[in-house]
Amino acid sequence: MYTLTGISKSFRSRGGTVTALHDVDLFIADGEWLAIQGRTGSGKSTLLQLLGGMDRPTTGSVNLDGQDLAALSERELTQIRATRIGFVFQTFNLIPTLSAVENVEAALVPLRTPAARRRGRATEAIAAVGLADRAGHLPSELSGGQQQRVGIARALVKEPKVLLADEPTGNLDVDTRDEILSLLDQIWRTNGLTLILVTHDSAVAERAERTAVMHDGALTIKPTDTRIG
Amino acid sequence: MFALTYLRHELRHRARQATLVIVGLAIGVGLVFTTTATSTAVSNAQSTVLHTLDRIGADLTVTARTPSDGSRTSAPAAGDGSGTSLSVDGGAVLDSSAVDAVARLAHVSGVADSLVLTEISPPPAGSGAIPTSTRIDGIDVTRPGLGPYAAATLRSGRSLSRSDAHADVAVVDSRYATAHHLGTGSMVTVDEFRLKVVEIVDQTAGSGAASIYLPLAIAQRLPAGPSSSTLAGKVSTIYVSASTAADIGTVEKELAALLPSATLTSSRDLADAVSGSLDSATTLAHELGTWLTVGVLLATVATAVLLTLASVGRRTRELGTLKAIGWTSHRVIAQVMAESGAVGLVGAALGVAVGYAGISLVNATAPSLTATVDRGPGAGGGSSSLAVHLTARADPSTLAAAILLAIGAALAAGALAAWRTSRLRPAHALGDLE
Repeated sequence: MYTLTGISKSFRSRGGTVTALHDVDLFIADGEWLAIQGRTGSGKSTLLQLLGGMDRPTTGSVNLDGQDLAALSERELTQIRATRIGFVFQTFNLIPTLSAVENVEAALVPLRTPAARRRGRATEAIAAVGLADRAGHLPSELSGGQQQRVGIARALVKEPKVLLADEPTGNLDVDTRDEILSLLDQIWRTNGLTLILVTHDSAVAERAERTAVMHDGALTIKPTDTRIG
Repeated sequence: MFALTYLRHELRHRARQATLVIVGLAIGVGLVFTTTATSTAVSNAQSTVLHTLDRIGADLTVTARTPSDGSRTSAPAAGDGSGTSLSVDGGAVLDSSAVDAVARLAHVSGVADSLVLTEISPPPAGSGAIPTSTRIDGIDVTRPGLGPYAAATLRSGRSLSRSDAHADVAVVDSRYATAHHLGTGSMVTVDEFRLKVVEIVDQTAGSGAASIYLPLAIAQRLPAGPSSSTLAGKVSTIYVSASTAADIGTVEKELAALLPSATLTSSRDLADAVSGSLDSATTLAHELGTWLTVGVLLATVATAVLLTLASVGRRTRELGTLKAIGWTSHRVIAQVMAESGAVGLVGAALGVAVGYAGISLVNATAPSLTATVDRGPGAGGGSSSLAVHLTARADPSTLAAAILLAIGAALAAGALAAWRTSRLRPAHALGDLE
């Protein structure tokens, strides 16, 4: 469970200081699917970075299961990213020189999983996203949707508690978008993990249990449950 | 091991860039390898030449300075009436007492003296040939170990010993012996002296070697002085060795003070007196070789660094992603360094092959070099020339240095890339920050 209290995040730029997040409070329950919606530059990706322990807030605390991520060392944050948080990226971010299954294996490397078990788990994860027959293919040999499936397999192979997805369908056509959303929905239901999805697309946000809207660094929670079932 | 799989894939998929770095390293290493081996070969050749020409075990050679008025210690040889003349090589002599004085100097470990004479024999009447000269060296058998005779190799017979100090015996150079049909036990005539040949020696041409060696006391009885006087109590050359290499300068100063009218010649002077194509090659190897090596080294390192940095720059998102999914900075840096190290290893291996090829090329195509040493008045005057074949060899230290160079250059590039990698934040995986 996440508890964000009084989060602000500022960046220095040539033009002065830019405040990306301003006094954000947020509670995310275990097993919840939360969509964070907003326009480009609204601060939603910055919020995702703080939730993922990839950055620290300027002020406030990001509490994950009783641990304030803002107060942890880089080593501890790395450990949390390696074990408890899975990431799905808009641009898939697969290692172009590794095959699909090797890309998935890469997520298990920090866990020091033995090679045979690592390959076995990666193969299972690839199969779980419907790409068993593409396991040995390079990312360049896969379609956008298939690459995102590999990205999802990579995020899930370590069985994380939280799945953070940054515009996971942003680079996909509508049909593929729906396929990926269905896959995420299925995973969320099956694995019982917390799914936090950043999107600018209302159609995507509508699939979530709850939607938070970012606007100029401020967060508002939509009052109604818009989840489609 | 996943790191090796990743490494292998990276190098294979970025083959063009890796090849560029590898080729750059290989050329750099190969050139350094070849240049160093060639430079060493030239230095060795020069050392060989110096050893051959005048490497007689002495650090310094003392000779009497030739009189400035041109008067020389020479006279027609008496006795055979053939017109043969004897003269002191260099035309001047020192008193034997100088030898003992030199031996008493604090930093002197060895001294030898000799009286070098030149016998000029006119050609047979009407032959049209030029006169022949024979170098005759009267050596002090009580002070062995220095001088051309000490550098000669026994071919047959026995070496001269202290007991031969006043004996009518001679040692003959093997080429002279062949030309004059001499062998051990034969008799050789020098002026009116008939000397028994007790030893035939092999000597390197141009080493300042004499055709005939005889005891100093016998040489001093030869009529080679002014007005056919003998040279009793005179020597022409004193060979001096210093206690240590560091003492040579001190000994040189002491000798200059002790014998102000004598000429001193050191090994350094001899090296300075080497001319000819070998000298040019030495200069070329040292000057051009050094700059070439430095230039290639810098270019190699710069190329490796730039290409590796460019590669890491292109992989910002990839490396950021690895950090985002839980790879530690150390693991990511190790991966980048391992890639650089692997490129360095391959570059080193290829560079060694290029180096060996370069050395073979040098050995196959290098022209025969000649070295000419102007012996100067201090070494008896005149000049000696030798043909030298350049033989470049790869020695283990050069090999190790070349390999370390390639790996070092690659790791230096990797270290810079790693430094850049260490500054990457996992947030780079998400692209531009909002």
